[in-house]
Amino acid sequence: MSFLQPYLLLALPVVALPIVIHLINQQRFQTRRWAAMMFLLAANRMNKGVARIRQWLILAMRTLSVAALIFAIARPLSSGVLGMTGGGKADTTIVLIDRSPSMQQLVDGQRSKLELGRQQLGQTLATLGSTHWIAIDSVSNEARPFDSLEALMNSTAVTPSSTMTSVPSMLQASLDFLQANRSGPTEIWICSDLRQADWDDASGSWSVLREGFATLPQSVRFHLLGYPNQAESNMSIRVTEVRRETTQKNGLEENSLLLSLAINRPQSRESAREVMQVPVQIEIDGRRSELAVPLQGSQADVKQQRLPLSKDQQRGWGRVSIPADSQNEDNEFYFVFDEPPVRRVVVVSDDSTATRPLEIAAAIAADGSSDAMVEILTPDQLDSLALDDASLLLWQASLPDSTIEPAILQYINQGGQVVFFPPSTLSSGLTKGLPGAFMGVRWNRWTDSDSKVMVENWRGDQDLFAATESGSGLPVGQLELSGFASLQLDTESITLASLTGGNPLLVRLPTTHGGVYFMTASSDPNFSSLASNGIVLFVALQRAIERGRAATGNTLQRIAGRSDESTNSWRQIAGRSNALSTEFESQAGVYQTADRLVAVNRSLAEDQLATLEDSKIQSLFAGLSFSSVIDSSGSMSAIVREVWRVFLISMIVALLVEASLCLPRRTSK
Amino acid sequence: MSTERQSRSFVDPAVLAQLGAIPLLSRKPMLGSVSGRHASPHRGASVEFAEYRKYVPGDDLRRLDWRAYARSDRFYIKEFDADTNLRIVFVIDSSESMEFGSGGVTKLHYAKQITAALSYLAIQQGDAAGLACVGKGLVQNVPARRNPAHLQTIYNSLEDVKPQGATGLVDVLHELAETVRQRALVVVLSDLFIEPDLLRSCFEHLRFRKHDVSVFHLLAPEEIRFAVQRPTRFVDMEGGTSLFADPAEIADRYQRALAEYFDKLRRIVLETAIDYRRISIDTPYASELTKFLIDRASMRSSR
Repeated sequence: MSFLQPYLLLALPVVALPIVIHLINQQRFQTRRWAAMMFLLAANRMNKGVARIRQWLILAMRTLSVAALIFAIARPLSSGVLGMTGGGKADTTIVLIDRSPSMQQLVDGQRSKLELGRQQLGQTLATLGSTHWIAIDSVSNEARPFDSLEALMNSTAVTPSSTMTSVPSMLQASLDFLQANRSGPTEIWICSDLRQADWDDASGSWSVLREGFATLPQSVRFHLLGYPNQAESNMSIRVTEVRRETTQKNGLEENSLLLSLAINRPQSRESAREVMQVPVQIEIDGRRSELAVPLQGSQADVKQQRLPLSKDQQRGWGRVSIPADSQNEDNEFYFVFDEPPVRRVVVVSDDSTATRPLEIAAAIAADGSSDAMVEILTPDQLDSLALDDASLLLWQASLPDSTIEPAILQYINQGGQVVFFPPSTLSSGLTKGLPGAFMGVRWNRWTDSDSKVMVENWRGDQDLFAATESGSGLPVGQLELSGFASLQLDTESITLASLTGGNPLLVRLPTTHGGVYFMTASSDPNFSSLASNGIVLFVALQRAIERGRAATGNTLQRIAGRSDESTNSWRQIAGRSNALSTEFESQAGVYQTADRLVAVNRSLAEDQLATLEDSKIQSLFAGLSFSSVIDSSGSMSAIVREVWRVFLISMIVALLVEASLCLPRRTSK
Repeated sequence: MSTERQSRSFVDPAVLAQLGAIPLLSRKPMLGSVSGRHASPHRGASVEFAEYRKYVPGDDLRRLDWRAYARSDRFYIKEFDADTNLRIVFVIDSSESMEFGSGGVTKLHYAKQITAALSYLAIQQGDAAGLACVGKGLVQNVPARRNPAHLQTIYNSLEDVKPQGATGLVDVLHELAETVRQRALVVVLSDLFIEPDLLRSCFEHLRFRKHDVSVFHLLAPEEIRFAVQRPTRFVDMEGGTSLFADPAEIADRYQRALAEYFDKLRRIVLETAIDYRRISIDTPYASELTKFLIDRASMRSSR
């Protein structure tokens, strides 16, 4: 039990007052000579036990009534969510709200988890009170102050979105806020459906967060409102591939869309036996058709379903949807299609031998199409450099000088990908160091090694050297280098792979758009096995090309989430009608920008149903003051409620009982 | 006769004057030594017709009813009740418990007042009055006499009575039942803090000896109401054990014990046909005595 004014419980020793008075009364006895002793002795023998119990009951009722009065004025709360140390008005209350699509699951047929959480949080925090109100939602991950709880609960911080939640990021934002603002005693309320993907319990950031919160000077208490309850019959749909195709049939050109989609539902005994037809609504540019998809088990895949398009339609948007169930956010998926952009790779090279492997790796398209273009320029030909529709720029020459640098920076800002390789002048030993620098990075010197230099470690979880979708890693460890360049980094960078001895192999510079990479190994077969062991080079370049194509194409399929890109020019074509224009990138839908169509959808991780167990959550907050209310039944109505009335009624009842026990017995005359 | 007048705290002349108009009568025939105001078991020469009986030789011819002879041609002797005086014996319980009282009046003092008034009335109408004071045993015994000077003796004895020890009332009543000559009026004044079953045998014994028994059961109002407020260590006035009790805790059981006692006593009184009066000593003894005398007078007239 928790109390809003726990300091009043210091008065609890007062409950002993009736007992003390009783004892004092017993001590202050008088001595009296008495004649009718025979009746006293008879009375003393008569039903002594019952009388004694009656006396104890009277005393207990008096004690109880005093205790109930003290408890009532201490303003007790019905739930133990605040813990025994809880109570008292917090200086700062930070509310972390999971706005992810999974929070849109209906819990009682009418209200979503988010809505329920909003109501329960509103009631609870209204009861508890606070001086400062801060909200951190899963879309912005930024601390937003509010004047009042009402303003917070009516803000966009508690509205649905399609963005995946990162609880560690929200907690990091809370920690940053507390470190920056030096607030007083703080309560952090987390409202979440405990999805494992959102909580990312395997992340190393949890230990950092724990340490950070533990070292804060002010007291911080965490309270979790968890809604892990899963709907058994929920189905989700997702488009896995969209491709426009033009074919010749009977001499006529046919334009069609090849659509692949997947329908998922939770695994159960019934789902394993029964085959159900799922009516999938497909909408393309407002025209609707329906497709019945047989579903047995937990997943049904439709591969390259051909949908006819008009002859002249090259681009457009569409939506697939399945009938409503307990969670509607995953019942539809948006897509856009267009003529695929050309695969154009520009290679700037001062040594054709060294760039030959790059040219080969870039010229082969991953999907087997033959429209890949590779354009090789020497540093002398940079005047004719055109990067407008380039998917990738490979630079194996002296770093760009001031004349060409603005064009490359513009290309990067548009989402272009650039990979710098050591210039041959450096690797051949012609120069010891090059004077030019690009974005704060310069080539330092070339190091020849007698023995083979191996790759010691690399980031297999992200970026160019990430493991494949099947989970198998790239054979980066098999690369052998006989020489490498060293970098002088005057800016922050992310090392994606490093060599034995600690020298970086692949470095990425942090950019808002596009990608800038520095590879310290030369593609020259004389200096590395990048060419002979071509898998790593090929996969890395193909990934960079695909990113560049996605950035330069007229359509964009993107995962809902915050970006630094301005959405001011976005115009909604399809999607949630009440979505704020400032949050278009976080709301599922189709949007028209100045030159392309953008389809925003929930992330793949949102379809993963695994939730965290209570013990796991406890371990994440180990060492911190943490309490949780887990609504496993879906019927949690109120978390915290003042129950002083119960204590007042108890006091009245105790007094009435005491009075009835004290009433003199009716005696026969 | 002595001219010096002693002031007795238990004698109130006004009360004696007030009661003087009402006769003290017995409920049963008494066996006196001289003529008096009370019915005798024998036939006598009073004006109260008793019965006719057949003439037997030797009867006084003056008592033949000639009118009855004229009507029936048979000889009948007309008989009348005899009037005699009575012996009244006051048995005063002078145990320590009689020292208890309220409002400045103790039970013993109340008993003395009643005894003084009734003995005055008895001797005034020619009856013999005696006194027995009971402590642990028979402390004082003044035989019954009808001499007016005897009243002084009784008063002196009353003056000397001091409360002491436990009560031996049961034994003394048995003893008196045997020693007092048959057919006397025995007036018991006590708080009767004795087991009722023991009293039953005493009363039956007295009844067997044809005594007319009157009991004045004297109780202090505090003993009835038990209106003690604070926890108290009660010390037995008759030297028994002391008891610590919280009145709030024990009051109802005390009242229950008291009620059970009264109930038992009431049954014994009904069964032994004694004249029982429970008196709270905060009521004026004059009114209690008036009621006593009037009740007896009315019983006599209705006989």
